Amino acid sequence: MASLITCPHCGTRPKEEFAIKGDASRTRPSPAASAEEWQKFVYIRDNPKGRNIEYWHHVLGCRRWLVVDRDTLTHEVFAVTDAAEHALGRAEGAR
Amino acid sequence: MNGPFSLRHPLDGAVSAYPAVNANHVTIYPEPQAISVCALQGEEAAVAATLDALAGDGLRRVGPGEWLLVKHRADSALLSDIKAKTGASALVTDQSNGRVILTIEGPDCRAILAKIVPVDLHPDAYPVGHSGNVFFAHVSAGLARIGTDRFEISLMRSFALFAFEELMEMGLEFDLTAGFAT
Repeated sequence: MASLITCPHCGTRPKEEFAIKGDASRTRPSPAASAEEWQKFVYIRDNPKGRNIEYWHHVLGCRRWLVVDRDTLTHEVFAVTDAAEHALGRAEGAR
Repeated sequence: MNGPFSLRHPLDGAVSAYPAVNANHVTIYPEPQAISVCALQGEEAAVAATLDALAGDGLRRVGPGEWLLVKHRADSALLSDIKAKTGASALVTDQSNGRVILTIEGPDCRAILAKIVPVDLHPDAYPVGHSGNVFFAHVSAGLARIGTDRFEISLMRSFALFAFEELMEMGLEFDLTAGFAT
């Protein structure tokens, strides 16, 4: 696992300061979505090999949610962004 | 266990009443002041400017739009001043009884902290005036560099004794001493 994460607010920090929530690429289904769709969103997880984006919470630092773009195979970290900025970027991309 | 909670300092009994003061020394402030300020969205820059003018060198950064104002000796007018000047643009909470403020100073203080804090404390990476929350002996603590060989640590009250004991143990080889500020 990538052991050093460069938080956009705090600088380079060890992974022990963070809690990992998981895949950041999924979108929440609408409340009216089918049970199968909700089942998939809540319980079914991929185990990606390679580059993927994840939610990381900087629990012991600035307490902000971050989106970490990293490779699970090479441990390379490509980008770390604040989750709020990431959501904004995604909303603008969808427009 | 009588009397108000705030009258009993969490580190009471952990240090001698008449401590030795070596070159490497931890000073505990018995009645500090810590005020948490969270700016509302869009008000961050204005609140930062107000706090800069009010708190000066006691301003500690926590995260974006969030600060902890630290005074080693309580200033009774500060809380109402901040509330009046930030108005509706920020949430202001008094954390004085919830925080333990101490400073560590001496020629080896960086070497001692390096055993507890997994963050680069070289003056180029963590210059004087820099602050933030760090992983400190497995708990979160505010760490601010207030001098070349002087750091300020703000601990949550309930973790304070544990983290303080860890700090003193790491300082054993450097003859670290500790005492309350007089």
